[in-house]
Formats: sequence, structure tokens, C-alpha cells
Amino acid sequence: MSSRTRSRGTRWAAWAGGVLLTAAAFATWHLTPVSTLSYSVAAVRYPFDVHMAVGEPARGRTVIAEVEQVAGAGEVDTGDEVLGGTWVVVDLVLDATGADPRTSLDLAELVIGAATYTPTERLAGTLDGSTVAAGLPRRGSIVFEIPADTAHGSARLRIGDDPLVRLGDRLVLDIDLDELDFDGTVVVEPAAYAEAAG
Amino acid sequence: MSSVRSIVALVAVVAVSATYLVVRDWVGYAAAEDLDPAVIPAGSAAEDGGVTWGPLELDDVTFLRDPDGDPIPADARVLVASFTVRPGADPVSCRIVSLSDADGRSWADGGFWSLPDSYDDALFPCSDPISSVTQVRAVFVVPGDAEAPFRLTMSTRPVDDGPEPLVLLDAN
Repeated sequence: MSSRTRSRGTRWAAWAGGVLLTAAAFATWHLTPVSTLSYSVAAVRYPFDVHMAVGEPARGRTVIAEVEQVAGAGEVDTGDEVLGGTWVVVDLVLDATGADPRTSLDLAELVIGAATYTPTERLAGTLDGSTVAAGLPRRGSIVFEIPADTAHGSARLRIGDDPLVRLGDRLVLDIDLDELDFDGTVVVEPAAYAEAAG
Repeated sequence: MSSVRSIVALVAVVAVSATYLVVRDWVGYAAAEDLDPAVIPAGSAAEDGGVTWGPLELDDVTFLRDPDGDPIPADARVLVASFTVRPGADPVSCRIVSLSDADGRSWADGGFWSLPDSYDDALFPCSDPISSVTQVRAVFVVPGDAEAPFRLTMSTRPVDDGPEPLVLLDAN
């Protein structure tokens, strides 16, 4: 083999290696959670997304959730009072896998565009923040109050256990806000065990 | 020859980088692992760190459920885990981590609200200093399909603070 041929082969190998390494770096960046800073003080490693569909149970590392219904509302009725606003009400059944004995729904947020909304604090007895034990599922709602002018387009629901657990996961549901009716009234029941109470 | 040196250098950089990443993550993983847990078989007691732990007993007290308390599912069971602690010369404290079943599902203690108030006196938390022979009791609410054998995991450190010595008590 001449030195000219060997040199050309080496050059091709270098290019191929470079392309391969670049592709591997891109794949690693794409497949792993994003690392960022929160309030400029703590490194947060975002959890993996586990996608949900309405009516189908989705299983994360610590949480199992089945979204039964997503509704829009102009009023929410708690039985004690009726609250006006622009609401997104997510009804779901929440269970724990048992991987962590202390599991709670610490993460619950609705992302619309660049804005992230946390559950309303105007309602008590909702599922957000509640603890759940394996095999003892709870049924309830997560309720978001959003500005009226944002109630269109797509939104993404994110729920899960402690979002700061490294390499944890979160359950996500894509919601089409254009399919929701924001004129009606939705009744919000307090969270309770999914099975009949004894 | 320069191309050979380049290839050798590239391979060396990749190898060293991969080795560094693996070793770094492995060291972090190993440091976060629980220290060698003491496993105490069902019906037995064993000494660990100068303290004798066990045996573990599990009592199904579902029949004691307080119907006026926080309702729990009809098929749920209320278990009281009790074990003896014989401290050495110094008082000892501990922290109950979980009760797990044959499937590996785990539950935290704290189902005392499902029992009558009169039962509170029978419960002794692990976190209080124990200076004499004491029967520690904790309540767990588990689903009806939780299957034996059960394992109680507890830490001989009262506060969750990094790697901790664990004692695993088994019960049938």
C-alpha cells in the first residue's frame, strides 16, 4: 500500500470518527435529562419524561397515574362554594409503585407556552402534594387556574414525585386546550381512596 | 507515523474519558449505597453495633380500625410491627425506613390514625432515645394483597443523613 493511499484512508477514518463522535454526543445530549441551574444556586437534573394518555395508566419509577378526564371550566364547584375563573381540571387515579416508601405528588405543573402554572391554592383537598402508598390508590383532581387569554393551543401536564431526585422521572400529558370548553361548571370532589372506604 | 500517533492519542483520550466517567459514577454510587446491612432472620435477634435487635413480630390489627378515623380502603390491612431493642452501655436511637413485602413494595410507617386513640400508648417510636430494653412498635397500612414474608428496614441513625447503617428485620 502506498503512503498516498494510506494517507487518504487515514483521512477518511478521521472524518468518519469525527462524525461518529459528534453523532454520539448529540444522541447522549438528546436522550439524557437536561442539567441546569435553578435560582442560580442548585444544579437540578431534570427527570425523564414518561408520556401518558387519557384513560391509560402510566408508570413512573415511584408513581402510577391514570388520567381519567381533562376538562376546562369557567366555574369549579366544590360543594361548599363555586369559584369563577378559567380552569383546567385534571381528574386522575394516583398510585405508588412501592419503590419509595414515602411517595407524594410533589410535582404538578401545567406548561402553556413559556409559562408554567402550579395548581391553584384556592381549592382544598386536591391531589397535588398528597402522599400515596403502593396498592392504596387515590382518586382526585389537580386544578389549575390560568389566564383566560392563554386558554388555547397546546399545554403539557407534568406530575411526579420529588423532581429533584437525580435521574428520576415525571409523567407528562399533552393537552389540546382548544378541545376544552371553558364555559361550563365542573364539580371537584375531594381526593379519596379509589376503593370504597371501609 | 504522525497519523499513527494521532490515532493512538485519540484512542487514549476516549479510553481515559470513559474510564474516568465510569469510575467517578461508580464511586458516587458506592458512596450512596447503604453500609453493609445486618439481616436478622424471622424469629431471631442479633447484635449489631453493641445493640441487640429483634425478633420482629407483625400483628394484623385491622379489626381495631377506627371507623371514625381517616377511612382506608375496605381491603387494606393495618399491621403493627414490633421488635425488641436491647441497648448496650449507651442509649440508642433509630429510624424506621420502611416495611416491604415479598414483591419488594415498601410502605412508610404512620398509619396510627387508623387505630383508636387508646392505642397510641402502645406505640413507641424508634427515634426516642432507648436506654433500657424496649419494645418498639410502629403501624403500617398495607393493601390486602401485600404478601409475606415482610421485611422491616430501619436505620440505627435517627436522622436521614447520607449513607447510614441499616438493620433488616424479617418476619413471616
